[in-house]
Amino acid sequence: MKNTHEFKTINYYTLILESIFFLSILLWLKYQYSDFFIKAQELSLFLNSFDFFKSFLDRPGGILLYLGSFLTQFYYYPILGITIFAALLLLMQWLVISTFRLKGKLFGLSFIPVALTVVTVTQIGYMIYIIKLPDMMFTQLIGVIGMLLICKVSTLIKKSEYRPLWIAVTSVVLYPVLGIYALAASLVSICIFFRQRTSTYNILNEAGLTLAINLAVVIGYYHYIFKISIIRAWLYPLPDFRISSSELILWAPYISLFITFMLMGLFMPSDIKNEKESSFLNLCNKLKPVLLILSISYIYFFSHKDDAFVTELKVDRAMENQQWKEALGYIKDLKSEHTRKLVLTRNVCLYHTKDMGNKMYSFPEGQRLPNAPRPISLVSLSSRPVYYNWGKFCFCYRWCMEDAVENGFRVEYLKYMTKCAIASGELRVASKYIRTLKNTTFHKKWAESYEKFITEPDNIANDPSFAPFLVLNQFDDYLDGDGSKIEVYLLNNFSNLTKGSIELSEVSLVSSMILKDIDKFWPRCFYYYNKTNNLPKHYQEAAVLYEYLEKKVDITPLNISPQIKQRFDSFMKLTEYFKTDDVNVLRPHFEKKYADTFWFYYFFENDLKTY
Amino acid sequence: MKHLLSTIYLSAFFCFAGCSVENKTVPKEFKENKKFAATYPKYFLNTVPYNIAPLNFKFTEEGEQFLCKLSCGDDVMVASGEKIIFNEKKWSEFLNRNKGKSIKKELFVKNQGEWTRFLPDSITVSESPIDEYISYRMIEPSYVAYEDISIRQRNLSSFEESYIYFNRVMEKDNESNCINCHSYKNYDPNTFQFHVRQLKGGTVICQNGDLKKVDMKCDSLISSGVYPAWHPNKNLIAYSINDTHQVFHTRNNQKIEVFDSESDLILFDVDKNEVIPIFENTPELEVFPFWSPSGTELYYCVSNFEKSTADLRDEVRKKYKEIKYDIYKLSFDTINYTFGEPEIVVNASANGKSATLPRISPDGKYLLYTEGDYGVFHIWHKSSDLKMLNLETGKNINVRTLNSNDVESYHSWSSNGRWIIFSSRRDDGSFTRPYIAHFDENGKCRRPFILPQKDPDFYFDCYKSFNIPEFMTGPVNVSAREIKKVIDKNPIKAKRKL
Repeated sequence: MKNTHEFKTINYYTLILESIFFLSILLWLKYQYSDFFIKAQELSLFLNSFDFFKSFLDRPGGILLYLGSFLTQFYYYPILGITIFAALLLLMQWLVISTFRLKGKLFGLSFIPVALTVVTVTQIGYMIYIIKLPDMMFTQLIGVIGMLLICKVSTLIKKSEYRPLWIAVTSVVLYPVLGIYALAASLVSICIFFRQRTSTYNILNEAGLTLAINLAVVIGYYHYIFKISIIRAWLYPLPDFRISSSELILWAPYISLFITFMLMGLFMPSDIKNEKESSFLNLCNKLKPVLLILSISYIYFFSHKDDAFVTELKVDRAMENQQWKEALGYIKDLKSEHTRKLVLTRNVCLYHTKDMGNKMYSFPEGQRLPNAPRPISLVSLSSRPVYYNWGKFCFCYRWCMEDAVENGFRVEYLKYMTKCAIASGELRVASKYIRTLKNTTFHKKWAESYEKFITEPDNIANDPSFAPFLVLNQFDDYLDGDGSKIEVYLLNNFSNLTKGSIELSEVSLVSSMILKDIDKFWPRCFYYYNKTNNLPKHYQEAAVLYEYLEKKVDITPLNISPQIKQRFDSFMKLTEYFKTDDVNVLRPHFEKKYADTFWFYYFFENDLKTY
Repeated sequence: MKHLLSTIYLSAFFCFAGCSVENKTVPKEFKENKKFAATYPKYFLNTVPYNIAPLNFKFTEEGEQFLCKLSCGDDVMVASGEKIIFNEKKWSEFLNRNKGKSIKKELFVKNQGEWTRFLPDSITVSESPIDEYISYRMIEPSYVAYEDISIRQRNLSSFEESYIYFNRVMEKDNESNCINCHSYKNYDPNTFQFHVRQLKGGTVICQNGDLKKVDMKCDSLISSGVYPAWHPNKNLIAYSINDTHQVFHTRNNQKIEVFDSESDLILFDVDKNEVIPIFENTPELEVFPFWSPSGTELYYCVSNFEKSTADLRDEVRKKYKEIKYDIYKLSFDTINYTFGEPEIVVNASANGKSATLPRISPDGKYLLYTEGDYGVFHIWHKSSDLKMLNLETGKNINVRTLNSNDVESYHSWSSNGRWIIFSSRRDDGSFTRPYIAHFDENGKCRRPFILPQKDPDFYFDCYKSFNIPEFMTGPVNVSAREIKKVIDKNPIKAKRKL
């Protein structure tokens, strides 16, 4: 008996489930990942040029990467990028349903590959800084769509003698376009053929033949066309996650997707149902809401969720626009432990709002490590914004170039390289970067806004885009290196400054305080006070504390405020009250009243680890 | 596949870009402009070999239509479009027909319906051919990182470029090596060497197609071989061995300073895998060996920098501007492999300068070298210029025409001695580009021109530097994957000659 119920068109119940599913994804992406997507397109590059297209043809799946790069740029407006992503997800789901015959009762199963594909993007998190395939926001999704299209055609081939030809054509012709997705498609097609087999069908023969074709195709292209390693020849255009236990979790959605499609191919419903199959269909029908909840839960639990990471992304954007107060607001709003990047960027922002001396210790310290399966150094995360905003153009430029060498040139690198080159007077090379950025769709305006400095370099020094940073660049040149330890380097570098502008002397003073270096503090403190006739709160706190500890320096000329003296006395009385030196015991008592002081930092913030 | 796709797309692109579809009729009526037309690259009053690839360029003038007319008597070649992309075959025939002659180059621009002819310039076609191939390393002007480095070869008569070796063939990311210092024996593409650093490191040596990897570091030597010089006749390579460091400028646009805290010279016997020290543990810093064409003299650079502390690295870092190199030579006994006493050739330090990279012309008459204000690694020194000495007369030759306000550094003579290729950062101050200049029989250098590329925008869009341009008489025929197989193997450990 032919069962027609499962092939009826989507009913309202299904439509509601589908709407809930996609709305959940849209909202999740919009509210949790908008900042991430903006960063993703900044760490990508798409140029409107033929040469750019050509540069993708040297590897399997290159055209997928090109398309991925093209679509990633639309995340410049996150809602636009998310809409395109969702539309492609819908197309993918339709292909899954159509290829594997999941209409009707089996519809709920189509949530699974969609959820897995969403997670390929939402799981990335901090890895976006170090993976060499920044355009994977779309590449993998398009790859899956391409793969499903091949499988769809496979379902239409009824004559078994054409199937090996189709497999061969798929692999040989589409491998350069889709890479591993073409190979995977041929294997899933074998499962489909097996399901649609006739009595003479020999799965072993066809599977063996397919594997042999795939092997021959990859080896052939590896030897004669693509100049890459054999591992890359197999895996392109998958991301370059490591094949290790720590990064297995990142591979999980890819492996699961492949297994899911294999199983769907092997068990796709046939036209004529037996009793066992019908009961399975009925079970699937009942489980639709469960599959929906499971899929949404999977997306939720396997996505990268890290409030510090999101804050860092917001702060980066605010700093790029010199919105220092907004950046500080984001940092202040973060309730969980701060990362060192946030501490570093906080200090930069406080400098530019001229609040270092009064507000630095009103922000919590922190040493939270990036939530990533691979150690990621602070220099990978923050070298560009931190060095540039501290006026260290040479080092900012250096790390842009180092990262460009590792990962390829990207919008963010090119922007900072442009700014550094202009600020350093290297206008010819700046115009090279501007020319490239003018070739993008969404960063053209930015490039044009900086192009004026090439023709009118006299405006650079006084322009607000450069002036605040040029002030910090007024130091003598010497040879140095940061040893990839940005925080330690900056603190030592600034605290060792013995001359320079008042701005630099203040940064030097603050650095000596962060390092708790009393000897360096005194000359910088007096110099700053003599120059400005003003000593902000935290500098007074340090002076009072150091005077108490050393009893060597007369701080009378510093005109310490009575309130600070009084508060310090209370602080010291509290230390005497607790007859222990155990900082773990003392910390909670002092944190309540003195967390916003240098004294608390000095006594209780010890062994902070940078990375 | 890649080439096929590229060709299809390229054809379509150029059709749409209108490079060759415009009317190629030379305007009869035009107004004269007394200036030279603005173009990129700026090929201007150059002397070129008759076997060079087309000097394609683009107009950077405002205009609606553009036309270039090349003429030598009645022999005329016309190309049109904002990008002037000559037909390779016609260009080659045109140059061959006009060997030894001067070609008049007229550029026309139509703007607001009116044609203008700019001041004509000329291209002199030399009868001296240039070596068919060059090779270079392609790398970003990077600091420490390397990812996608390749040594490539380019046919100078066409735009054909291919890989000799590239580190993307390694299986894993952490196996990607830094590759450097490719060098050939007497321009022979089948006998060459280059170094592989870090994992699987060693020196890859190819002799007539046979490959091996050697580890030259033995016992107390400072390092394995670094800067190479193949002996022209013997199976010997002279190397400097260096304890090299790299530090970064905090404010200066020169960005990087590379220096040696120690360096010596060795000789490597390729057949016996034997290392013979030339200078060992000397207080001086010796570097950049180079053989005279006869192989009886070894030129090299020496700095007599006097170190006063034990921490050589820190001292050299602090006093880097005081390090100046001179060029010396040693006589060499090609039978016993013994050296004579050092003789000074260029006393640059006496003038407060530092001379490096000595290269002797194939006829042995001229010494071309790089001179900067200080230091050894002039590719990062803006003061760096090319200099030439007539070894017969001892007089300096004026090569000002080769130099610019920016870096000029690595240089190489063609096998017939009539062409010089060198690295320059004159274009944008950052990315190194290869420039070629004619050097005539009378010892005069002509205006250099940038290595021509098919697309005139190539250098704008190219984010890699051309490193160590070297002439070769033909292409290297060993494949990258054959080289990789050797790199994967353990190196042959060199012995020290007792």
